[in-house]
Amino acid sequence: MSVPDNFKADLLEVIPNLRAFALSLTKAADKADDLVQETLLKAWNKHHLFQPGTNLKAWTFTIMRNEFYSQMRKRGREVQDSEGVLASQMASHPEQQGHMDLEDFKNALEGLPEDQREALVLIGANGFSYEEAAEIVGVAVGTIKSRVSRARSRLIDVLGIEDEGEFGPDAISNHVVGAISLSNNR
Amino acid sequence: MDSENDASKPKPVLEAKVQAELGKKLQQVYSDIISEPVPDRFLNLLEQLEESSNSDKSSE
Repeated sequence: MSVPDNFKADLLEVIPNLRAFALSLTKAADKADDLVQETLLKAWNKHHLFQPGTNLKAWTFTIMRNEFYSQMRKRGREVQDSEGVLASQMASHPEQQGHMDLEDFKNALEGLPEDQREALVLIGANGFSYEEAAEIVGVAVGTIKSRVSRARSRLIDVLGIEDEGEFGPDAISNHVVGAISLSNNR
Repeated sequence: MDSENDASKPKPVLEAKVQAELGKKLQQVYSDIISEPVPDRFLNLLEQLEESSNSDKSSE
């Protein structure tokens, strides 16, 4: 069972996204990188289960998610009580702050129910399609859509976004839309 | 989706802008870590894994 030549290079490419997803799961930078390490090891050892031509990023995210929740079950959910850590652990750069304060946004994100935050992070921050996110989480596509939709409504409520005045002209970006349309390239 | 058609749904034009802004913020939250170079520990790990599977191959 030799490892395909490009497997290592392909894994390297998804590491930044794996680190971001790990951070969203563990909410602690040191634990996040340990989770990435476990995930890479598992992915390498299971390389024969990966079907070339399918989405390696989604495949490794699935491995990471399974690994995280199985560790959490073993540890008796100690990971749960790190509320507010994401906001304090992640450096905020003043030049990144726009009309809506990034710290406020992080706090609002932290306050989302786990399943909604996960769906939003997969779609909005990691560029997965609804279909891919559904596969990673192991639920129906409609469930992911409704989680994302509820997460958005909740963020809008929490952040008190009411009218267009909140956003300047250059605040408009197609990140989320772009992420979703990528699904057609599969 | 029922939840996409309920009364609390923002107006469509606003919704697109809000979604775009939320997406942008979401990316900002993770942009630091996503743009960091891959840490050495992972480069080394993959090196080691590659070496060990190459040596498996040559001993077959």
